[in-house]
Amino acid sequence: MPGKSRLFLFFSLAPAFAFILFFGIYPFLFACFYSVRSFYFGLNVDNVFTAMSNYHNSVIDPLFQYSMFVTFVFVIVSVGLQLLIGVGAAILFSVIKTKAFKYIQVFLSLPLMMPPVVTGFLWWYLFNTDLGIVNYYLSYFGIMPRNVNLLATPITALASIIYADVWMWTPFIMIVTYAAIQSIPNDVMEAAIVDGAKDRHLIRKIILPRIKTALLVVLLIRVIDAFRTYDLVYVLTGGGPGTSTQVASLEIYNTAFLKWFLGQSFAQALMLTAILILVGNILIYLLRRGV
Amino acid sequence: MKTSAFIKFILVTLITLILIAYFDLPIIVMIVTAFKQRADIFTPVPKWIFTPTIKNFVDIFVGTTTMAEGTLAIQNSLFFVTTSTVIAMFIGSLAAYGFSRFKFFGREDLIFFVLAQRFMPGIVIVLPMFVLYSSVGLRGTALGLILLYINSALPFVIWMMRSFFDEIPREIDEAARLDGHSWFTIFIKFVLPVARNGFLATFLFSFIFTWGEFLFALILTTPESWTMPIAIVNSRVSSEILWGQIAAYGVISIIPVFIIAIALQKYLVRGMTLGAVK
Repeated sequence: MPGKSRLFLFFSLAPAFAFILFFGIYPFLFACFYSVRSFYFGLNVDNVFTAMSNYHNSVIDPLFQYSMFVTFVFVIVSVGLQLLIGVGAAILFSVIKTKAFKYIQVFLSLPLMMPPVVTGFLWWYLFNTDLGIVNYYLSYFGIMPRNVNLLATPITALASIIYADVWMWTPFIMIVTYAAIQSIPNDVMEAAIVDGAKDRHLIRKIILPRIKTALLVVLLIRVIDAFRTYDLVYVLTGGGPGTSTQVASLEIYNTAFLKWFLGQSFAQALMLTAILILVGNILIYLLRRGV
Repeated sequence: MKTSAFIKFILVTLITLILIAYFDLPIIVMIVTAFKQRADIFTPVPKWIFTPTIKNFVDIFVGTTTMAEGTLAIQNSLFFVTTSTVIAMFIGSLAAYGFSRFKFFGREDLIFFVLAQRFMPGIVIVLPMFVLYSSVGLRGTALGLILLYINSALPFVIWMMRSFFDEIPREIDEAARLDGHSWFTIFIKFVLPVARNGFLATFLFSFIFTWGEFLFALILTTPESWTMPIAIVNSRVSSEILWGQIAAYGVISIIPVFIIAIALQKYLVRGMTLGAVK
């Protein structure tokens, strides 16, 4: 590479990497450094090296264990349902060969464009016992009594969060999957149909193998974003009732801003990061290998 | 019409209607609520027919006894998001161009390192920045939040723009090189104009993502620098839940985003997958 090109390459990448270094790497290293100290923010506590005790205390803390458990349940159930409904609908629209999806795509894309806080409030309102339409119509059709507060018992609160998340993100999976199926060359599909392939075979042998990459990308984005979920839960239940829907990000936030124990919150945040790096790397490895 | 075609027509219509109702009815409820008077909201049976009012919107712009006015938050959001997105677009496109046009040792690893930034939990970034900003006086300032927003937009911009640049033939660059233009001139004058649709799409997506950002703003803003999501959340802590005003806030916050979304349909898949699926 000639000198001038090399110089340009350097200056093209430098600004972006300056930002990443300062706002990505620096906070990360800062968190690493203070996660092994008894670091309280604004409180008169000695800031001393405590080795792994922040990590150890977090791991044995039932609240943190539980928040990890809830996060995993949330990620698996929520993303699982989104995949099931999203991929299912996309395949259905492709197999019955209709152009309808193109026309309704814009309507389906609206939930995923909304600010998550607004989505949270919207569902908080819809799930409201006295005013929300969810309770009204569920009781109208005799599915459950009117006065049940869905956000007040642990199981239904988590189910409500998952429901709102599924509502928000299923269109994303649906739209991407549909686009991936449409990019399969027409003659491949035609040939299979001429050969007498049934819908079931068409889906298993032709469609699914060709949309694997797209599905992996979608899965990577959804799984990691679901692990980091904060805003939706914050608005919808605030982690309640009690701490029953306290996902990891909320737990970390509370450690930092209720106890002001930043050292421990760093330790917890880094453990969450480690899980994300692990999950992300598995998916990225599969992706780079081309599945 | 043949029977099978008729059944197919019924089936398609049914599925489309169910999907649209499922995904859009909640939004319609919110829009309807924003135009309701207080008495029409607090009814045990949902009211679909009522006299519409714009009082909720007026309340947001002038404020009420129980709710601070929201004009400042709307201005803040527009200012923070536009500034950070414009800067991120320039810095990110430049880097994307470098990644797209030059082969160098470790390029692939570096580009995945950039991607990894997109997947870092926000809480890992924002807690240390909270400590740092507190000590240097950047907490609650526009500058502090804008800098962080630029950084969080960068991975998306770099990946999207790289995928657009990769589609532009290198012959354009080579021809311009032979004419004696510098790389920077080629980037600005020859390549960027060709990629303008992608540039605009990336800008708009980035705008949408930053527009809805919550965690950073929650931790780093003060009432003077509240963004819209924060103002919405804080309108809840008064003595009574102001459903009408909250719904109106929601409507105001989705208007720009929905207009953008409709304009972006062609690039929707690409934008939502960082350019990985076209």
